[in-house]
Amino acid sequence: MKAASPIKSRFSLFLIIGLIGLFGAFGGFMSTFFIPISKGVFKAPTIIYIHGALAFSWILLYASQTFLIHYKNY
Amino acid sequence: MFGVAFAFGTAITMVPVGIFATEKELAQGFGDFAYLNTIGTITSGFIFLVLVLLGVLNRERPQVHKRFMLLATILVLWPAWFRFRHYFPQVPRPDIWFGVVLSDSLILLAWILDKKQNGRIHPVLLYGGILIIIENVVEILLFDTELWRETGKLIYYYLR
Repeated sequence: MKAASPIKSRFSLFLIIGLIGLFGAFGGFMSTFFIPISKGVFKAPTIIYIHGALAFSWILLYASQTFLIHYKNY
Repeated sequence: MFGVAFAFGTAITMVPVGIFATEKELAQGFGDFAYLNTIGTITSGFIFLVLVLLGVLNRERPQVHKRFMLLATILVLWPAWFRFRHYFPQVPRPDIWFGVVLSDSLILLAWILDKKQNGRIHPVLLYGGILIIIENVVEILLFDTELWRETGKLIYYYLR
């Protein structure tokens, strides 16, 4: 018996998770980080900003790499 | 290259961030409860780094490499999903619904998409995902136990 063949999707699983990850990262930190920062009311030690910048850079890098690989534009 | 630097930077800075969060909660009068998050912060940073290193070591095997990086990304997203509790304050046990169910649903989605798009769930995604889910569930089960509190205190005083 022939095994079921995989379904070709318009978007790869990596791109889908990358996009959902971007939404989750920005959505999750919107009310506790981005909006307070834009209003000038968020106060934290410098290391918190550095950690946030690094973690967001990872997520952005992951999403952009999966996007470029998916569209063979690298 | 950039990715490895971001990963190491993210994992290393998790330590002072965890200490800051604990001290903030101690100052707010949370008492011993404040120490509970230190273990999660350290284990998350460690597992994230291990996944990234396994991804780097397997960079010549694209199917393995990209799945380790996917799991690392899912893991680093945990704090973001947990913050969704602020939008839904009526939801009980946010530690379960946002900290485990919502954040780990990405692993389930990845399994479904891998099976659908590639005909099977790749072992890295399957077993790596199971390990992350187990780690999250164990953390919930042990949270606020004497063992967890004392371990959290020990880690906090050691790292401070």
